[in-house]
Amino acid sequence: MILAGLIFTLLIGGLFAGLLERQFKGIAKWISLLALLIDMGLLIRIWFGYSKDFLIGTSEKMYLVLRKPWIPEFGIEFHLELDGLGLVMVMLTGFLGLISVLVSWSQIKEKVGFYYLNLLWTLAGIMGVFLAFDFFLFYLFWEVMLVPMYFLISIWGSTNRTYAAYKFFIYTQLGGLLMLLSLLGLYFIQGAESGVYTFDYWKLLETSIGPAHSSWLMFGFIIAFFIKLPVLPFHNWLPDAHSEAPTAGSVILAGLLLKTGAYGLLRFVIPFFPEAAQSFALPAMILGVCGVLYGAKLAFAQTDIKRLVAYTSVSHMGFVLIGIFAFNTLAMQGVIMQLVAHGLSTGALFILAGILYERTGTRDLEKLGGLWASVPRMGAAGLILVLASLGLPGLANFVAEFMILAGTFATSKMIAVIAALGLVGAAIYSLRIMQKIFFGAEKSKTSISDLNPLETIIIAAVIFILLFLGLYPSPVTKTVAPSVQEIISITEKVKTSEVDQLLYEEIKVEVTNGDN
Amino acid sequence: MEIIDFTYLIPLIILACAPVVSLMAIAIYRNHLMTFSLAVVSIIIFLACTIQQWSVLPEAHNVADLLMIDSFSLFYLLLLGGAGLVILFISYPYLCQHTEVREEYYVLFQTALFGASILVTSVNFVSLFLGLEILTISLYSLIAYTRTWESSIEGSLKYLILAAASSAFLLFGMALIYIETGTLVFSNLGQAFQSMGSLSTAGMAMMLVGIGFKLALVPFHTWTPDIYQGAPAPVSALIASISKGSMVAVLLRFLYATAGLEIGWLVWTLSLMAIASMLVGSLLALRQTNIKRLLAYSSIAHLGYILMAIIAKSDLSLEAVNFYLVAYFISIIGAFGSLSIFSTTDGEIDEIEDLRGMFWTRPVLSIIFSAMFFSLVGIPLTAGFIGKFYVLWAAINDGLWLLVVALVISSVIGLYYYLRVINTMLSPIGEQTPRTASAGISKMGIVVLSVLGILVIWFGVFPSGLIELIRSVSVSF
Repeated sequence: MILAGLIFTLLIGGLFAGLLERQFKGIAKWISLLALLIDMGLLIRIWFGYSKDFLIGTSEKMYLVLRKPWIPEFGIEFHLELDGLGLVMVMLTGFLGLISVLVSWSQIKEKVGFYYLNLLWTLAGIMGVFLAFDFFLFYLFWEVMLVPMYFLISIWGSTNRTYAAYKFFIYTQLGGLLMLLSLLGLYFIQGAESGVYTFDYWKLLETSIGPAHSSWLMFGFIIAFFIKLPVLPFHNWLPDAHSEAPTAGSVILAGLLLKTGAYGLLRFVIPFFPEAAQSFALPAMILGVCGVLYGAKLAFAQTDIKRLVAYTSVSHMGFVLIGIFAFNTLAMQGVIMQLVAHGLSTGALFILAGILYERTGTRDLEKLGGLWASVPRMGAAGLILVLASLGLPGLANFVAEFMILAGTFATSKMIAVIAALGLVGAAIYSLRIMQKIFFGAEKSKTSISDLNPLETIIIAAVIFILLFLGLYPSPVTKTVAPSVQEIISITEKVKTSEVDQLLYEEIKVEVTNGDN
Repeated sequence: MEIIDFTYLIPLIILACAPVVSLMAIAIYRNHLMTFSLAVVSIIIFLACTIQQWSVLPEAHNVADLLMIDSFSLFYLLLLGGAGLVILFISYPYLCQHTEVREEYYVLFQTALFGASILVTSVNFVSLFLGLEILTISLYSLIAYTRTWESSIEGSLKYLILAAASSAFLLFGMALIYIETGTLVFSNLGQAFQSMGSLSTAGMAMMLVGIGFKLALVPFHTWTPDIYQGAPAPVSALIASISKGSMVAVLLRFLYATAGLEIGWLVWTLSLMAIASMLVGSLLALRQTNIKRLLAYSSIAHLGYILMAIIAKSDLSLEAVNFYLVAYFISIIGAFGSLSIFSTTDGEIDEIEDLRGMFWTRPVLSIIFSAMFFSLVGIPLTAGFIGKFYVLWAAINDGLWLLVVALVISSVIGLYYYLRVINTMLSPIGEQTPRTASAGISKMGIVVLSVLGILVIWFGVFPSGLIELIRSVSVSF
């Protein structure tokens, strides 16, 4: 029940925030804060329970399970489960959700009730995506997180918001529909095989899909997740959506929505299509490397801060893709670490960009400069976050990228070497941010105020976590270890069965030779 | 005909008597509210009788090879009756605002409903044609009911000419089939079609023209936008739902009874029409600035989806069509209903721009209106999504991948134009106050629309009840 509680707290909180704001001005943000605090409370309880009961030798795959019949005619259940991977993602969602409410605290002045309704519903959708173990439910949450996000961009965004909102929605919907087709395909193959039509994750996992079907079905999922991640040819929506969205919207987009793509690859694509995924590994890693380098290159060329940060996401998500398709434990743990680290550091960078825009009225790097003198606290925060993003040892991003590269090196040296060049690119664009905004000649005479206490607390909390995980990453790596082990073991099984196949054929040849 | 037949026909008899009673009542005492109430009461009695029959007589009953009362026709009668009731409630405030002579509208409305009911029960070319003509002739005058508007007259005339031509095609087709097979009853045609002669083939093709016109399938769709735009909004709702829905029912029964889906070329033609309707409907909707025209094009695409489910010949196919129709009925009537409720005294709201900023001036209605649009585009948690899911399910089950791909493309295009409307509603209010703000909105309309809004969400979240109901429906002939 606690899992449903996580989602329904947000849904109901959002509903109340939307309805009550008309009567009681200013209540919406308090309701939202309360809803997210309740969620965080639940999550912390789950976290302690998990590390106490679950990590120490249980044979169960999942820590928490909730199943309720929903549409039995279609074999659809309200089916949520939580394991280490899910727990880390949901914790990230709760934390960034809390931050995004606080960021909006004084920024949003129009249509406040509707704003918080959308914010909380997006978060509920994202939580649902991380928890759903019924494919239909997963698809449903996948869509539920999009519609409110579309509203967030198109109502509270900046000047070019309509265009960005369309682009975001149509790209992701196209992916979503292709995923729906693949999903139905899987559903029918399983149904035809066993006679029982169901969307249950575990039952579908048992389906044996022929190689001809599996690559088609896999591509439906892959395109949906690649659009979300985003991977190189599908990244076009991201800079627009990120730069036009309101600050909290950018935080959720960069910190959480992109992660659903990676989560989908880990949770669905690899376990369901291990063979097809392995044969697709090289192209995927090449796409990842291209993303790393191309994102870095374009980030360097941007003059708009938010667009710049958006392109760095393309670059960092390239690492994620490489790590996923490296198929080893180290890289995959690095991937999850990267999801957390990138979510936090990029989210915080977007918050800084939002604060700067609020104070100076511009996001153009060329119009900013020499701000360190007037806003030292903001400068220091910016410096740490930028260093995190370029992968400075001691911060979580370094751990993540190091693990990914080290893991990848074991499987494909060439890819790892080229991808490492991305770190050089990251250093260049990151330092450029600092140089342009905080150092150099002062461009405008008007002085701006430094971070206020609330903003300081938000940024400091993020930096603290980044530093903590950078020095002591095991809370994340340990938590996800069972899930990663599970995913890896599925891919290993395929490899060994291939070897068996080869052996078997050799033996057969020998036997037939012997007959002659 | 025997006495027992009459007991089966009670719902239809009630519908047939209703317009006569209304006419006489108008002759005695002309009063808008009274005529409206009479119409509402007649439909409620009709619905009650239908429900009663559903619960007592599940087995099929054939009346003189003309009409068939089975679970399929009872289901459609319920659907038509429900839709009719809702449209009546939407029409009342609309008529109060826009016309001087209001009472005859209800007479025409009742005859149209009667025609549609004959259509869904018919198992014979004769009853098919009779029902169709009763429906169509009522529609001619309903479209022109706001006779002071030029567009209304224009739409009616266009419909008159084109519908008459299409009826001629249909009739000619029937005649050709009759020459070769010597029967007008669907179920006898089945055996005759086993060895299909050239005359039957030609007849079938001509019938396809007539049916395609009624369903507004590409390439027989060109009338739709003009007529939807010209007709009063409640009448547009009537054409989009009742007129098309009853035609879908008769097409289903015809194809099932004659095993038409075994005929290769027919399936191919239908598939091509479905693909063309999905794509053309969505593409042309992109360029519309008038919201009624936009809905017209979207309904073309939706009929394409329904046709796709019909072609997927399996047990699922019937369920999918029926579910989709229910979802489509609710959403399209809701959309047109909202438009007709927004209408001001100086005309209807019909440009998309008229809706600018409506979210902030009329939040409740806007939310209902958006829910209808989300349902039409097939966003989860609305009935439209379950409908689309059902259609995809049926089609994939039958391996119709080409059609499935067309549906996906059409849906993605569809997103763009539906979003455009919602976006306009969300944008800040411009200098002049929006026309929606000045519209006098009737309480009755809001209540009816809220019910539709709740239904759209309810069937999207808890479809089990409706699915169970639909599973009990089977066609006999």
